[in-house]
Amino acid sequence: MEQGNDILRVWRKDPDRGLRLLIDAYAGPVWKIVRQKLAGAACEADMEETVNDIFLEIAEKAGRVDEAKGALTAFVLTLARRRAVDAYRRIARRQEFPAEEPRPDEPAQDSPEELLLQKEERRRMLLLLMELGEPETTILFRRYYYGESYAEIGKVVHLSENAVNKRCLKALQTLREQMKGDVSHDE
Amino acid sequence: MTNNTFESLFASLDETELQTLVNAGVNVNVPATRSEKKRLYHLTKKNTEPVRRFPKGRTVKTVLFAAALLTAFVLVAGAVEHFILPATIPEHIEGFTLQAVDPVVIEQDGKFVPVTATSDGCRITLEAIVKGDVLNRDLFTGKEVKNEKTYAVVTIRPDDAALYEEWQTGKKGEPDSIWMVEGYAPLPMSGYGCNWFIDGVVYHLADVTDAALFADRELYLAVSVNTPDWSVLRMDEQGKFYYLDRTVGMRAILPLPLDTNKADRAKADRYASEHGFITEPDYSWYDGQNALDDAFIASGVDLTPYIGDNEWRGSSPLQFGVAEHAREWLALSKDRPADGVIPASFLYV
Repeated sequence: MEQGNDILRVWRKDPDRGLRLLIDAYAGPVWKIVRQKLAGAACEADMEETVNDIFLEIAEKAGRVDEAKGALTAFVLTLARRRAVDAYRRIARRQEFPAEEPRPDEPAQDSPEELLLQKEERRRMLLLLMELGEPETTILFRRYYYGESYAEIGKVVHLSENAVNKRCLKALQTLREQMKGDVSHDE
Repeated sequence: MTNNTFESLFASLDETELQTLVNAGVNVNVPATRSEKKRLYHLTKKNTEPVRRFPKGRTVKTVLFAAALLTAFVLVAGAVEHFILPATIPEHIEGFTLQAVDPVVIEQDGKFVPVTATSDGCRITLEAIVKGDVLNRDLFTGKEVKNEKTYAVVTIRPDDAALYEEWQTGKKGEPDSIWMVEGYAPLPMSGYGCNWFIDGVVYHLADVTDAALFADRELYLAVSVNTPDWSVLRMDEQGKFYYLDRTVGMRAILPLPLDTNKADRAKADRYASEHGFITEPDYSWYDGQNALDDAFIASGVDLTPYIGDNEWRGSSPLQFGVAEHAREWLALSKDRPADGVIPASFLYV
């Protein structure tokens, strides 16, 4: 997936082949995100339609993606997540889910000041998260972004399910302590 | 900090923050199943329209390309320009230019020796290694970006004209390749290629630019119908590559001699790390999929009514398995219909 720049170059030469490469590279994460967001709310056909729409939009907008490393991957994942949430809302409306039904990634109706504080908190946590190093960063990302099980993550980072569980808990504890430390410093 | 905090953190990551994580090396890759990919391929034109031929009026050029391919590399840059990269390419997209210049043949003992293999009624030949400058014009800024690329030129000559026609129309996939480094498991995304179909010969241009970093090691080019993956292509314990016996269709593993002066151990190791090259692959998932495929085939179920012309049959007996859903049926159904016909609801066609 790190070959996003190569895909973009191919896409600019031959959009059809580029789209094929985009599908080969990103079908997995896009399906994963859509399944995670729509699980229990949508049928397979709805999920497939959502994934199709996402790739059509990626193909339409890929030319505007900057060739900075990682830009295409970030663009695809972000777009997939947004569209999956949109699809959830659409389906929920159609199926008349109860209003109190929890929705994925519902944007908070916060004030600009609160949003700024949240962004700053995310930035601090991201820095601390990356300081953990691998495989912890990947474990936490996959656990909370993709919602993968410890067993699934274990296959990616070549660790047992139990080992992933332990590393995940330890990493969370480390982060918790470091965040407290940061707060103390700030004070 | 609770787990919910983390969930909300990741749920609200914006594109820049996500890019930061990707750049930091977080593994965000998720392999797609063949069915998941297959269900998207209809978005590409090649699955529904014939592969574009050279436009009318360019017959002379195409014949020249075919005849002069091997000798064109020693001609001056301007002459090579539309031999290596046919002039149809710039027409694919407005405002886009592509030129191949400064061709170089990597010599062995003063002369490049083409390597030929035969497989499934096809002659597969690594004809040459060439170098080209690719000029991309950014569609939005109009700036030209120059990229130097190294290409392996492979010709594939099928004896069977029908097979050539099927590849050309994309009905049953088309030749593709990946480059491989001895000691690292084959990586399906390790290279890109383009095909030109001219007078019964498939000219496959494989981008092996990045492979040059590893040129001081044994390099190979795996060629097959569709991109070879672990369901068909493996590395043994000695680091040697081979196709599984169950593989069908045209395939070959050719040595890939690149300029050893381009080798860079430090960069190569970094590249291998960044791109997820691994030395001890775990094939168990693919073995499981293959076993299901085999079980499905052994069940004798007639797929013909469901496959149709759009099915891409490639290196694997059920590449891009149209029967992916039928597997569920196979696994679930202990009382399969006596006539062996799969309920249509289990199939994606």
